[in-house]
Formats: sequence, structure tokens, C-alpha cells
Amino acid sequence: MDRKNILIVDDEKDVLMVLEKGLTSEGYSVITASSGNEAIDLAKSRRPDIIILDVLMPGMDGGEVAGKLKDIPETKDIPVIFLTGMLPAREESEGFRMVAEHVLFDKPYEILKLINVIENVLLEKQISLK
Amino acid sequence: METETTKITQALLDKELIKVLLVEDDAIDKLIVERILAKCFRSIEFVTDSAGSLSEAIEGLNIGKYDVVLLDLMLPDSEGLETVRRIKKINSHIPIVVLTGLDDEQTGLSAIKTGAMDYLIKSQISDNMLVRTIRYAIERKRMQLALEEAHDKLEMQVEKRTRKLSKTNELLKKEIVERKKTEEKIKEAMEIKSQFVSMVSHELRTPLTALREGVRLVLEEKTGKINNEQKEFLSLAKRNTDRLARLINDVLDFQKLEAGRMDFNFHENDINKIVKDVYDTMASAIKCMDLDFVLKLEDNLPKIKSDGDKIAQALTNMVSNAIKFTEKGSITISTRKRENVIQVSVSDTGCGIRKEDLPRVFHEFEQLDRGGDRKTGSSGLGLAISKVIIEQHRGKICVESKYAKGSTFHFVLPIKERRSKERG
Repeated sequence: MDRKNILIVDDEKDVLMVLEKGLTSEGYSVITASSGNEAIDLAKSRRPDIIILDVLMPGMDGGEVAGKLKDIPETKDIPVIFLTGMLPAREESEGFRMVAEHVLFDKPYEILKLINVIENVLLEKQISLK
Repeated sequence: METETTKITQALLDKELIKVLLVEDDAIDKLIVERILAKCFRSIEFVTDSAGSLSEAIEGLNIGKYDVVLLDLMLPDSEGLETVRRIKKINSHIPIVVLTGLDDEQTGLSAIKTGAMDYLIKSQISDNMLVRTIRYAIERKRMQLALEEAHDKLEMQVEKRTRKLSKTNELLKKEIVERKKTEEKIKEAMEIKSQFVSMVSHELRTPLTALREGVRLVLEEKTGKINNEQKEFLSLAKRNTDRLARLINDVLDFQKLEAGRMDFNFHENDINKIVKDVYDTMASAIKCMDLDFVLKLEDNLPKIKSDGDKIAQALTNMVSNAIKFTEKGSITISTRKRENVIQVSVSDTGCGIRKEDLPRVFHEFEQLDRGGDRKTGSSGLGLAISKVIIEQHRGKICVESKYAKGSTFHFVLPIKERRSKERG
């Protein structure tokens, strides 16, 4: 089985570090971005299998990034998992509502639980492609 | 009774016509008065009717209109002041002039007290006196009535106003009660919040301590050697537990300060020393970030009664804030004496603060957007804490800023004036 590629986006360097290590040690291949723009560029060029997106970032927030990705043909089918530490009520950008069918995950989270969710999302995608 | 002739006469001569009711039962006394009244006066004409008893008088008053009553107090069917009262009962608007005997002056005065306008001593009535007395009695009565009317009107207005005021008063009282209740509720809520925050923060500290120390032990290789990757992740852990600890401390500090429960230990302190210590502590971190860190102390500043640790904390928060918002350039701390205060300033060449954001700078939990890639990673309490500390020293804190150019935060502490030589 190929290694699955995961793109992680978070402005906190420490979070990227633990997430990257946590996922690579479980057999995933990881690329990281610390801003919305970087994320979009990497998504276009590297076509990850799944994107994990921090919601609260300065500049473009997670919702906006997801919205933009939906508009790009190369990235519109990549599933997105949102990570948030705040109560749902506060996240209200356009992009967010557009991708509502994707999973929200609350911080603090355990990487193993996150991996569960990742696997489920990838499975769903596989099924829908067949 | 008025006749046509009298009317015409009066009209032709343009004299004042006064209708008199003479109540007198003694024939001689009656005659004397009637004779005077019948005289021809230059500007006045009396038309007189007589009554020999109180009941006759009352009858007359009920039938005709009179301008004045001349009243003898000794009547067959009434005596003394009672007579005055009874006439007044029938007609309270008509002036009464009482006719008294020679040794009856006292009665005359009492009659006035009872409501008569004046009194005349029968044996001493002259033309002049009678005319004048009647005239004055009528005028005085008119004025009295006018006064009473004005008084009544005023009374009514006062009552109206008082009723209005009473209503308003009632409403206000009710509102005060409501507000007091709300105040109580708010106080309660704040107490609960305080307690909650304290409790949670304390609860958080326990595991945090274990976590921190656990990490430290491994990081410092007390449990054996570690490789570079291990060191990297353990340092990450340490960084973040430190951050957590700072956040919790900030929240607790702020709670205490807000609730007035923070202990301040005041001593005479050299502010320059405190500033220098803060500078030394933060210097290495700042130099690592490629920023210039400048210290400008004015010499010979007087000592100030202050809590050194708290001032240091306030200053540290201000410098931390400067670091957060400055990507390149410099941060400068300076001290100087101005009139009767010592001023400490922290200047940076950072991104500055927008005019509309200035008022929020010292508010708790407010964090201003800096754009760029870094979240602040702090509680938003630093400056709020500084403000409370400075204000507890009876000082003031403020900020000047130019967006995109930089900011300068100042605080001033008052120098106690020395008790002067006057005492000498």
C-alpha cells in the first residue's frame, strides 16, 4: 500500500512539529505549511491525499483556505479535516460553511484519535471514487 | 333700597356709591350714625338700610347686596363676638365695622380678631372718621379676599406638584430597589467568577508542575543520555509547559489584582535599579531576535515608595509586549524625572497601534491583530496587569503610537513630596 500523503497547516511551529512526528511515526508521509497561501501552493503542487487545517490563523483562516481549495480544479476533491480549539459558534467564514461536510476536530486532541478520523475520511473517499 | 333718583344722582355727580347695612337697635345711636351717613359728601354717597336685630340683619343680607355692615354688638337676639361670627357665617365676603361703647375698646379689638375689619366708638364718630373707616374696611376686605384667592390657587398648584413629585418619587424608589438587586447579583456573579478562576488555575498548576519537572529531568539527562531528536521534542514540551504556566499565572495575577487581594510590599526603591534588572534579564532573549535593546537611565533619580517586584513585573510585561509586536529595529527603555514624577518609557519600532485600537490596549484579554504569521501566544493580560500595578502605586500608564512606525508606552510614578522645612 502506498504511503498516504498528508498536508498539515498550522501557524504554530510547535504544533506542526508534533503533528508531523506523530503522523510519520505511524506511517504517513507529511508535508507542512504555516500559512494559508503556503498551503494552497503546496496543495496544488504536491496533491496530498488529505489536508489537516487549523481553523484559527492570522491572515486567511482555515475556512477561507478550504473555500479557495474548492475553487481550484487540482485541489477541489482533496478532503479536509479542520482542527479547532474554539467553540463552533465562533467560526463563521464562507469557506467554512462550504465545506461543512468535513470533520471538525477539537483541540487538545490525541494524534491516535486523529489518525482514526484520517483513515475514515480516506476510506469514504475511496468508496465514493469506485 | 336703591331708587332711580339715587342712581341718576350718582351717575350725574360721578360719586362713589356705597351701600351700608346698619345693624343697631338703640334708637339714639342709630340716629347719630344715620345722620352722618345721610350727609352729602363730595366724592361719596351712602345708601343706608337699617336692621334692629341680628335676624333682621341676616334677612337684609340675604335679600340685598351691601358693601359694608355697621354692626352693634349688643342686639336683642345676639350679644358680643358671637354676633360677628354669625354675620360672617351668612356672608364671609362683606366687611364688618363694629360699633362699640366708650369703655369697650377691648371688645373692639377682639371683634377685629374675630373677623371684623375695624371698630368705631359710638360717641366719638365724626364724619371723617366714619367715611374713612368704611372706606378702609371695604378696601382691606377686598385685599384680604384677593390674598385668600391667591393663596388658594397657590395651594392647589403646590398640591398638584406634590402629587406629581410623589409619583416620581415612588417610581424612583422602585428603580433604586431594582438596581440594588441587580448590583447584588453582579457582585455575586463576580465573586463566583473569581472563585472559579482561582480554583481552576490552582487545579491546573498541579499537573503542570509534574509535567514540567518530568520533562526537565529527562531533558537534563538525569534519567540517562538523550539523542538530538529527543532533545528537540523535549525542548518543545518544555517551551509549551512554560507558556502554559505563564498563562495560568497571568490569569491568577489578574484575578488577584482585580479583586484587590494582591499584597503589595512598599519600600523606598531606586527605579533605575529595577529597570536595569529587567533589562539584564531580557537582554539575551532580545539580542537573539536580532533587535537592538537600548537602556537610557537619567542619573540621580529620587527613590520612590514602591513594590519593586511588581514594578519589575509591570515593566517586563511592557517589554514583552514590545517584543511581540516588533520584527526589526530596536526597543528602548528610558527613565527620567519630570516635575514631581518619575517617568519610565518603553519604545519600539514595531508595527504600531491603529488610532481606533488605542483605547483597547490596556483592556484584559484584548489582543490586537498584527497580521503576519505569528499568533501572540499570550493571555492578553500583560498590559492590563501592568495598568493595575501602576495604578496601585497611584501612577498612570499610557501609550503613544504611530501605525506601522512604532509605539511608546509610558508610566509615571509620583515622587512623594518631602515634608518641608516649614516644620523646622
